[in-house]
Amino acid sequence: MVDPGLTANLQVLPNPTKNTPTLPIPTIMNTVSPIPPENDLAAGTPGVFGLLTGAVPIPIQVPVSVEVKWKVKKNDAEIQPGQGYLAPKGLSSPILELVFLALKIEELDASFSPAPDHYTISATVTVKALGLSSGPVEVPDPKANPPLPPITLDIPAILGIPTVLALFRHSNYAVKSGDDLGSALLVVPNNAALKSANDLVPVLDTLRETITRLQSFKQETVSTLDLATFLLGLGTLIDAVNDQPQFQLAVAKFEPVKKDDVVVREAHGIPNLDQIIFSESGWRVFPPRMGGKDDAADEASAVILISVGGNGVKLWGDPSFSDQGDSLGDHLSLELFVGPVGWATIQTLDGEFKQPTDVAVFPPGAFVQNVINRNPKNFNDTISSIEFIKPQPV
Amino acid sequence: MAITDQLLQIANAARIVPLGTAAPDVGVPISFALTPAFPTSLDTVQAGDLSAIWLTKDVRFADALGAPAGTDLSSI
Repeated sequence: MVDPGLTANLQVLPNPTKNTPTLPIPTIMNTVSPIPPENDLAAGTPGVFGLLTGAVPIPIQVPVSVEVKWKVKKNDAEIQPGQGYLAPKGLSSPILELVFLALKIEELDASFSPAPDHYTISATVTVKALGLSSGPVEVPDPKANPPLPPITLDIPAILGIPTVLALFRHSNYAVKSGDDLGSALLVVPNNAALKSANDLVPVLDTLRETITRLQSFKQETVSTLDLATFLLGLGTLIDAVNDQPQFQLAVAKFEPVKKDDVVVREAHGIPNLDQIIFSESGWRVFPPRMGGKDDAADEASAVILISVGGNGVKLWGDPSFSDQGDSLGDHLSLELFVGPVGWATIQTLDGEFKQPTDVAVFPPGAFVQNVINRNPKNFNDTISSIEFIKPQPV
Repeated sequence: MAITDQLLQIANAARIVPLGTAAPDVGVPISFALTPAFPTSLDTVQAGDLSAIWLTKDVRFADALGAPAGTDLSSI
């Protein structure tokens, strides 16, 4: 029995000089009741008072935390979000989400072959527990032996926009007017990369999806193009042509332009639309159903032009890129430019236009210039030749 | 193994892997993660302080005999 006179109210405390975790040591209390009398047989008996201190190994489970910092390099130079890519979840989350941007646009012609940007993904990892940490460790380890392959991505950062001119038979791209079925004539430049509807349709669809995604992430992903406005134009073209029961695609050629039987220049276009016969099927039908009767001359009532670089198209009332002749011809022309917005439309050519302000052009930024109407006539159903034109240097 | 060595082992084991099968392209979200999954806790051994105090008394028994049968030992 422990001498109650010695042990009563005795407390044993952890060693306060050490910072290491300590075991909870219970307070030693006198639990003998009643307290033995002073003449207890053991009272006054000699003994030993012992004290033992030290450390013992204790298995424990400790929480672990991890810090991750992702790095994105472009051509071996680290770049931040906004410089060619977005990281919607940031660069410190366990999962890295990347959306690469198109910082430039170019015309998708036969020479379009953009070199992809070369990106490398890496991370640094720091693991922490109990106030201790290891790292940061490079992942993948650049000093590993054998070396670990880097995570690389090749992204075509230039968006290709094909040039497409669409002439519609009816105003507002209507699919029918009275008994007249609607039609769409698509004309692409001579150097176009896509010279058939079978090639063009999937590219336009993919382009629409891509721009929809880019536009949803950030407006300024393509710094040189208003994505929302361009998307509206691309969607307008695709949806309008989708609905047309008659369709044809023509590739422009380089044609001599004569005056008084003398070649004065070369035009890039279609000199006579009456040579183009519509197929009696839509543009998504392949192969197209041939055997139609309607030609494309003197039919256009609405126009859509998709292009970049401020490109334009000239609509001529007469064949062979002419707006001159006797008093019986359609001696009229106008020039339609996409401006910086990448598309332009005249929803109706129904008007005796004499100057650019007479023509309703959409969207803002697109414009008409050089309107000529020698024998004042309505532009509707008069277009007989078309020509692709470049903006004149200022 | 020291805990710092264990932490370093975890960090060194990390690898980057792509998630999903989307082909990288402009506007297409692509994701990457680190594998294997990091542990949320770690088993380790820590030194714990021991502090013990005790008392003994120098006592002896009167003889080497056992207690007589029927003795209530609790009353002794």
